[in-house]
Amino acid sequence: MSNILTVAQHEFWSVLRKRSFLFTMIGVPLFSIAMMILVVFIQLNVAESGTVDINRLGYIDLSGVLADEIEKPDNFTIYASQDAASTALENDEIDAYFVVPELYMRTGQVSLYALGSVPEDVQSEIEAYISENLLANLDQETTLPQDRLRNPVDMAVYLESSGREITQSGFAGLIMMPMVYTFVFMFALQFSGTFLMSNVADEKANRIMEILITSITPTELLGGKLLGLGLIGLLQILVWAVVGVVIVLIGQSQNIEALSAITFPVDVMLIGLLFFLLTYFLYASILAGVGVVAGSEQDSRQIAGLFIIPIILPFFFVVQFMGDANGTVPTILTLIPFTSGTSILLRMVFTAVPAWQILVSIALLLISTIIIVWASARVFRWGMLLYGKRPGIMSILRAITGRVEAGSLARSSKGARS
Amino acid sequence: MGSPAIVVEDVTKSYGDFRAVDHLSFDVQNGEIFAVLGPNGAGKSTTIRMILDIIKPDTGRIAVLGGPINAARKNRIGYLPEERGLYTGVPVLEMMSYLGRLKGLSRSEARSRSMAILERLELADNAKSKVSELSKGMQQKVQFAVTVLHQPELIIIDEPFSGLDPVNRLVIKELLLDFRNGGGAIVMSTHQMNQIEEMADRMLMISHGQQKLYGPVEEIKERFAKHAIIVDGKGDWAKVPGVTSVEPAGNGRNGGKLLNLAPDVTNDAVLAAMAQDKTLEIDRFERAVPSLDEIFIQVAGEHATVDQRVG
Repeated sequence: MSNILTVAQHEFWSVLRKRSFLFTMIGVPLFSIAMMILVVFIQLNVAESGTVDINRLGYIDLSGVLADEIEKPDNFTIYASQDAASTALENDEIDAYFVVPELYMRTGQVSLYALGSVPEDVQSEIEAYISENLLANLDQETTLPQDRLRNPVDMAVYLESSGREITQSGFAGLIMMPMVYTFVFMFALQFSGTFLMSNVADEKANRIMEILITSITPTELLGGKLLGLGLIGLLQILVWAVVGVVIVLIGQSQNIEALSAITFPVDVMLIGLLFFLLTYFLYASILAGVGVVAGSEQDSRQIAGLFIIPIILPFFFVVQFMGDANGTVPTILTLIPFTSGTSILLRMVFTAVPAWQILVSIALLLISTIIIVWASARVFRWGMLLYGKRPGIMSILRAITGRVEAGSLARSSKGARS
Repeated sequence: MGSPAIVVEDVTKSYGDFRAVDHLSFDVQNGEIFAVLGPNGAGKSTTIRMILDIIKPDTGRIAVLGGPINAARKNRIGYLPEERGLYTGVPVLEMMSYLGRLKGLSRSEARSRSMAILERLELADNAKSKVSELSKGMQQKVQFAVTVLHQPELIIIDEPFSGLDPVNRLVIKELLLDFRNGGGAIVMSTHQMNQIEEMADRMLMISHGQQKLYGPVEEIKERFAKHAIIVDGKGDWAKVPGVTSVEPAGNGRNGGKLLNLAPDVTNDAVLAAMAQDKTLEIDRFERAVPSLDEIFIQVAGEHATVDQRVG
């Protein structure tokens, strides 16, 4: 155990000292925040320039406030139930609908459901209509709470399918979270994973591997490396998270509209962290295996590039995720260990993911991570003394099943070099 | 001290159908430099890796420093692989202290010992330099420093002199001899026969995984000595009484002729006869003891490829 810690410590500090790492750790969050602000800003401008049209509004009045329909705008339609309104929204008969609940008089709460962001003027229109009817009530009754007059409507806007609350321009803020997560995750993984891999390739090329494994066991070496670089990944994420949250909070306190849209759902973040850790060990141990088998650092980098693709794969299907986040494609991607981290977060912001799927996904990821770490340790032990020809997939499989020994390619005299 | 540093008993190792090491037995004593040589693919690395417990023998028994190898015994061995075996992008002192800690030293021990060795090797000024900034000779010295950092009792060293200039070769050679004289055991795998002749006490030559030669270097050379002399000069050597045939002296002999002698003739008698003969001019006269090179080629035989690498 102390050897694992010594290795972990060494790997941790040797990465931390690298200029390229410090640049990535500090530079990338600054860059990504700039990009994020830009993206949100553009999205907001697009939204405000009227591409998201909300002309036809439905409503359900459970409170009776709107019973007289005083000054009802022509584009407002009454529905008997929320289901009916929801169906109408789906069938494109209306663009959004709002619900005035039974307890409206006491709370003032009104919920607005839409498929995307809702411009300010639509909300004002709804408020004006409700206020007008409130005032009419005032003429007849005296029981109206004073609060309602002072502050007639407390509007909450919901994205129709997920029920997750959004504010104005909410869509951008909603998708920002998984995007930033994936971005941060990819960078952390890419950096620590490829560092681990190229480090292993390098140690092998330098023959320092031979000194290392005559001092400690291969499993201790691999364990120490995974641990040390995992901590680097976490540190990186922590730094980015702190920088990000601080900037967003400052922005929000300064009423910068672009940043006010961004929310930090705690559930999404915690699940994200869990998935990060598991996926990190999954990828990092594969990359360690690649590093030890691939001939050179250059080769291993190319191979590693392939393994990064599954992390961003779910974004290629973003249309499916937005359309039906509980549909077949998102569900499958959630269950595949390599894509599950990104998929689950993308889905969680759009919809309520069934708990069993989250649990099954975690279980599958956990099992495959354990298997991969185990298999990697075997490949590692076998490949670290293998020089010359790059082994084929069959040799690698033989190494995993334990039928060949360190440095040997069955009967190749190259592997068993004297 | 008592027990040998290494005992290898009837060890066999196969990779599939390929028998890398075939019923090999030898021992290495404390306070000796033991050379392992053989053609490429002879089983040298496999043997060394089995001693270091990187791979396991199929059959046979290996004892190192008094028993089967384990983590504690590994910490009493210093291993120096061929080529660099160093972290290039890390400061020298830090790398040494890391590798020292993996060998069971505490952090402060590792640092103070590293500094002491670096000073002895006149590298103290380079303690903070990265390995990649050092010359090849300096790197080799650092590598040696890493090998002895934890004060091992046994050093296993692969091609210790490759890539070294004569000055640094001398430095390393002296360090190795010092270590030997201090009672440590050294196993040296090399292709440089002259280094074995200069330094090794005993040697093992293997080919096809089998022992071909084993014993004190001088004894082995003696065993291969022909009843012949080597001369340099002018004249017709064939007519000297007692000389049966004349041939070129061969590689590594600085020219000259090899004179095979009749069984009952002594070297002294031949020299006396030559001195009498006024038509001969003698510049050199020596007993034809074969070089290890020649023995190696002769023993490795026609089926083995002689290593072409130049150290």
